[in-house]
This record gives sequence, C-alpha cells and structure tokens, in this order.
Amino acid sequence: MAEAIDIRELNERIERHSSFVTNLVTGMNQQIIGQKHLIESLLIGLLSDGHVLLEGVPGLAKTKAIKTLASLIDAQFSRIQFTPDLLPADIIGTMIYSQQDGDFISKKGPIFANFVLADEINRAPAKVQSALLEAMQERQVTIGNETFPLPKPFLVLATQNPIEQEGTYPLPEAQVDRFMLKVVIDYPKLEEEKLIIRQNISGKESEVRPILRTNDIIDAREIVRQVYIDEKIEQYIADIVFATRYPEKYNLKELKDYISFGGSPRASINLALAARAYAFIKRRGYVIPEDVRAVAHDVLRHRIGLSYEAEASNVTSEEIISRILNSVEVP
Amino acid sequence: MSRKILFLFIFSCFSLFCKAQVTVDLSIDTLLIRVGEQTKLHLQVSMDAGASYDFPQFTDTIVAGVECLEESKPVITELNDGKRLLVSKDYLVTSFDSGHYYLPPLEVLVDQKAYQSRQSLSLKVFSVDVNLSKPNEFFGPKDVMNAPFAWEDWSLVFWLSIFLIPILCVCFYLIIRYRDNKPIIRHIKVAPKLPPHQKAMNEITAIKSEKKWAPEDSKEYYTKLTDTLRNYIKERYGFNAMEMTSAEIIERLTLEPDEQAMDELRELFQTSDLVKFAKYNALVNENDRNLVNAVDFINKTKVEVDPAELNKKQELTIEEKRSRTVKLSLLGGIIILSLLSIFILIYIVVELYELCF
Repeated sequence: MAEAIDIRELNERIERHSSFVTNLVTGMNQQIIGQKHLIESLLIGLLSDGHVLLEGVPGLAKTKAIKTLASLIDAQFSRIQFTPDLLPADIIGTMIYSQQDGDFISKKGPIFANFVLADEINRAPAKVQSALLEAMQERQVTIGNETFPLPKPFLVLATQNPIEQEGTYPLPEAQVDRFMLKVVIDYPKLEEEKLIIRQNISGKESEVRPILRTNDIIDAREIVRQVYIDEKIEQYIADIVFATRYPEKYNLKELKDYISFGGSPRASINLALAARAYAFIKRRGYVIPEDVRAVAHDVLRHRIGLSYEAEASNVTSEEIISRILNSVEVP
Repeated sequence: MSRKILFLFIFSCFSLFCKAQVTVDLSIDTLLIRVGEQTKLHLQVSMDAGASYDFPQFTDTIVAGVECLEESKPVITELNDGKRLLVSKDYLVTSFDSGHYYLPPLEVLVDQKAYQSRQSLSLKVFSVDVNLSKPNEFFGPKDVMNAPFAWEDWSLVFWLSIFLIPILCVCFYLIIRYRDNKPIIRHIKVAPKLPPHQKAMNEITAIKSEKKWAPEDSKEYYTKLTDTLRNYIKERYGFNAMEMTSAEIIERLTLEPDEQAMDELRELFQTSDLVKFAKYNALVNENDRNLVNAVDFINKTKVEVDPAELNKKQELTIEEKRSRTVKLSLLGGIIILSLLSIFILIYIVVELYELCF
C-alpha cells in the first residue's frame, strides 16, 4: 500500500501546484475565444520545457495567444519577426567594436529572453532558421568565441503559415524536429466567431497582467517530472513510434509506401514528456493511454516524412497517425 | 525393191538405237582445292522414262586419296513431256593429301546395263603455304565445336520435368493418405465457435481459478480481466475495443440502456487503469467486486445464440468416415499417377541422354 500512497500524495501535490493552470487558462480565455487545444498545447510546451510551433492561416490568433501567455507570466519576452532579409546575427547577436574599450564586445540578440516569439518563422531562409538550432537544443548561444547560457525557462514559440503560401521556406527536418509540438490551428466555430466579433468591435481592451513568476514555472516543471509513467505506457509510446517507422509490423502494410521516414527517438522522448505534462494539466499523478493519444498528433505530425506516393494519393501525416493510433493495441 | 528393204532395215536399227540412248555426264565444281577443302562431283544421267537406274555408291573413297563425304539423293527432272528423264546426283568429296588425282569415268547402271560417264576428271589438291621461319604462327587443331543451344530441343524435356514435380507431389500425398487410412481431402474439424459471452465467461473462470489476489499480481490480474472484457466488447459490439482507451470504450457504449451495467464497467475500468498505470494495489474485496461487475456486465449485455444453429454447425464439421470406394479410388489414383510419372521420367532420361551424348 506504500506505493499507492505515493501516487495519492503525488496527486495531492499536483492538485496544490497545478492551481495556476486554471488561472492561466482563464487569463488566456479572456483574450482568446475558443482554441482550447491551442491553449492546452502551449501549456504542455511550457510545463515540459518543449518548444512549440503553431501553424495556421493568418488571422487565427497565433501571435496573440503566444503574446498573451507571455504577458501572463512575469518573464522576459521578445518577439522576432522573421523576414526574407533577416540575418542570424539579428537573432542571436553579434560582436561589435567598442571604441571606449578598444575591443570587440558581444551584443546579445533578442533570443536572450524567457519567451521568444519567432513570428512567421518560415518567412526567413533556412540559414536564419538554423541560427535557432543551438539555442533550442543546448539552451545556449555562441557569439564569436564566447558561449552564453540562455535564461531559464527558455521557450521558443514559433508561428508559421502553411507551406503552400507564397514567400515561405519550409523548415529543415533538423530544425522542425527540435519543436516538441506542432500545433495546427483550425478556424473557430460559428458561435466562437460571433463572440470574437463582439469582443473586437466593442473597443474595450482588457489589460493582461502577470499572474505567474518564472520560478513558479520551474517548480511546476519539477512536479511534472515526478508524474509516474508505467512501463506499459512506455511500451505503448514505443509501439506508436515504431509503427511510424515499420508500419508493416503493426498490420499497417499499406502505410509503408506512404512513409519515407518515421519518428526519431526524440519523438518517443517528447511523446512521453508531453503525455506527462498533459496528465499534470488534467491533475493526475500518472499517465494513462488517453494522455498519450491526446498529444500524439501534435508530437508526431512534423516528424513523419511523407513519400511522393503519399503526396500523390493526398494522404496526410494526420491520417497516418490516426491509422496508427487505431491499430496499436492500447495497454 | 531390195533398196527399199535395206533402207527400212537401216531406219529401224537407227530408231532402236535412238530409243535406247543413255548419256552419262560427270562434272566437278572446282578442279583445284586445298588440303581438307571440299568440292562437289555432279553425276548426271539422261535416259528414257520408265528405265531403272543405279548410281555408284562410295562408302569411303572414290580413288585412293579422294574421300567421299556425303552423297545426295538423286534429283529427277522430266524432259520432252515426260518421255525422257534427267537424273542427277552429287558427291561431296575432299582430300587430305596434296597431289594430282585422276578421277576415272563413273559407271551408272540403266536397266541393268552399265554406262560410263563420258568425262574423266582430274583433281589438284595443294597444301597450304607455311612460313617455316615463323613457327609461332602455327596453331594446333581447333576443339570440336559445340552445337548452339536450341530451346526447341530442350523445351519438351523441361516442361515434362515441371509437370512431373506436381504429379510426384500428388502421388506422395496420396500414398501418405492411403498409408494413414485417411480420406483424400482432409476434413478439418472446426471447433464450434463459442458466442462472445460464453468465451468471456470461460476466460473469467480461468482468471478466477488462477487466484492472483496478491498485490504484486494485481497488475496481471486486471490486465487479463480488462483484456477479456475488451475482447468481449469487440466481438459483441463490433468495434476495435482492443485499440481504444477505457474512456473511448465507455463513450462508445453510452447508448447501452442498462445504466447500472455501465456504471459497473466504468468503475472496473477506473480501478484497472489505476492498477495498471498508477501502481495502485487494489484490495481483495475490490478485486472480487470488479470480477462480479465484469460477470454482471457480460450477463446483462449478452446476446443469446440459437442453440439449433450451433448444433447444425457441429453436425457439419464431424469427420466423415472413409468408404471402400474412396480407398479403391485412392489406390487407383496412386497406380495411375505412378505409372504416368515413371513413363515421363523414362522419356525425360532418354531425351536428355540423346541431347547430351
């Protein structure tokens, strides 16, 4: 019974420490109408220290959602508008000559913040997008010969327009794999649309005040790390990721020709981390298969490479993930 | 008067002579050949139609040093509206010794009478020039040339060999069936398919008999119990419950009218999720209650199958006994197939021998 008490104790601790989740969601809902999934995904990224990529057509409140989240937390926030003429130095910083000291000094770029909004990340060429690689993975930036650690927490929240739109550059695989979640935002529902109109034409701008400190986030992350993942869940996660690589082993032979490459080990890690954060949001001290399924699409959709056959047959990664989830046995 | 008689006599003799005229001609393609080179002799006889003829036959040589390699069949050409015949025959000759050979006139028998060719021939055989100062340019005799591969020669053997394999397999199968005293076609005894609820109840009885109540066995106990229930739901309701989470299964079953059964199922799934994923150790009475809940859910949602249909299925699947006729037909089949395969095998071996040697 001792182990059972541990879970109960953990549940109670989560109940105590996760109260801020309700406040954050309420604060977000005051600014963003609908988009429940978007808000949940941003919280998952925040709690599991994973970067989030938001994709959707212009005007779906992607930037507003990120700005609101950053405003609700008392932390450094910077916004970088990605443009075709942006340079890596514009993001990470550069060495400048100081006449006063007679030497080169490092001028830090806007990446040195807790929350970095990389707006329309796919408007900049791959060279600039790659400037984020070290920052996102190592949580540090090298300017000249000097390496600077980034502040904690450090989170890149990027937005992008669908690739099909003009003047966009697709993100390199190495870059896109570093985003824990890729959230696809859809249009709001009819009722939500009416509320959006009402809110925006009233002329009243509700002020967003910080309700959380960065230390609260760091503490919450510590609790999230304690959320229990049973080996059955680990097996389930591994099965899902393996099914993206070897679908024929999971009675999904028809998907084999549609997948050029499956999820990397980073996909398994992020699936487990995201499921744990999702369990925390749901005030649970343990992960159940529902948590894995809830985050599977966001974690895997940008990690599955589609073949030419898939593109010719109009098969999307969404469909592939759904088929996999419906075929892998739930523990 | 005597002049007329003399004239008539001379005319008659001339006519007789003309009727019996036989001419034999001999010619050759070339009078000069190199050692080993071949040339053709043409022997031609002109005679009246209806006369018998016999050309000379050479088994080895025509004259010493000139060998006859091949004789063609006589070729007959009709002349003068079929009154006369021109019969010709060719001889392929060669020589392996240089020198000058005399070919005497050849003799043809026409109506058992010998006629010699009007010509005699000479054949000059000369050796190849060899530069003795360059011995490196001498080459040994060439190997015997292999005949080119012709699929037509091998196709019948090939297809017969292919055909022989299934015959031998069938023959072997029949022998085995005959030896084991079994019918030709195996009647697979299909076990009667149990209805989902009965299958689930059997599994629950097995789980119960295992008596895995200890805390360390709870996980296994609940895994088996929920798997049994999910399999039952899959077969009973027809959706893939094995690939669905507890919440998804409950959501799919919301249309089930028995609310109490649904509440019991929900409670069971919640406990099993806690045990399976949260290290929760259920109490013994909790285990019992959940087992009872599972049985209750199955009993409340089961669909009874018509027993007559089950019996019908069983009757159909009973193995039929072999009759004497079947046994005889097996034996007959074995004999026919064996004979056929032996015949084909002999034919293949003979053909292969002829093709290879």
